[in-house]
Amino acid sequence: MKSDNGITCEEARRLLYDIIDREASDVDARAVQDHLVRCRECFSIFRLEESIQDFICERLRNSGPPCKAEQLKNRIKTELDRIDKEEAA
Amino acid sequence: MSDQKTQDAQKRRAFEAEALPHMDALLRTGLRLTKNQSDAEDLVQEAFTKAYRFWDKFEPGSNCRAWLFKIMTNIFINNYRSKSRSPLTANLDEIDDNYLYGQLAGADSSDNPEKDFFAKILDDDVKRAIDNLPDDFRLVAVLSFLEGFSYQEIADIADLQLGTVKSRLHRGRKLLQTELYDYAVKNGYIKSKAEQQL
Repeated sequence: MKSDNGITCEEARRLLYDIIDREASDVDARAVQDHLVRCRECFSIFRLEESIQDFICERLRNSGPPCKAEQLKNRIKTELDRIDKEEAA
Repeated sequence: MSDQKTQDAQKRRAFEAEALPHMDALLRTGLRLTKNQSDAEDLVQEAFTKAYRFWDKFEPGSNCRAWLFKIMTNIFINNYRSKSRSPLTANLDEIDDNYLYGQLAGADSSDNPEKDFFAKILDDDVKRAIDNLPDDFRLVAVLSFLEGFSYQEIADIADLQLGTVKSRLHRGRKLLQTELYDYAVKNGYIKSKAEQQL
């Protein structure tokens, strides 16, 4: 579907992940937004892809603080002490 | 205190103030990269040890988090990444773009596979799907999805061309979508497209 002066479905979909990842230029982002207003199918694809992206990021980040972080910090500090001594010698 | 001692103490203070607070993020990503707690801890410890030794190379005011991730990624690629390349990437081009859309959209109105999909897939399911990605794809996916680095930052961190970052992310997404969909169907969370049409 090609609308007056607008981008095609193919062009819009090529920009899909640039838009989702907030990497698209302002010009491209505007062109895609204009297209989405006019094209129901692209609108549905973008909406679902955005939901999937949000879902995956949220699920991935949902783990809370990593376990044993405090012990690891202490281990690292001990290692830094060792390097300090080594470099002072 | 001698000048040298004062300098050393300053270095240590600066490192603990600027670098160490990023440890949780490095560990979180390290876990997804190595896929196990003990390797992740070793990887992160190695990264901080190296960063401390090279602290004079860090430009004050530049992005410390990205610098630390670059060091850790480098160690991961050299010492932890599996040596054998995964063969499954060959079939990737046969998977349609927007795979999940193709499977979930246009369902009968009595079913709402999209809603079921999002409601029933759990944190651990997504993590498992990420863990199953080949190393090269997993690396860029984790840096993007989990840590929110930009394409350019990922290119710098992983020493890749911008176009390679984009194509690996794109392929990683395809694999993730197919994997999550297959998992959801296998566990009866949603009906497959074929079943929906019965």
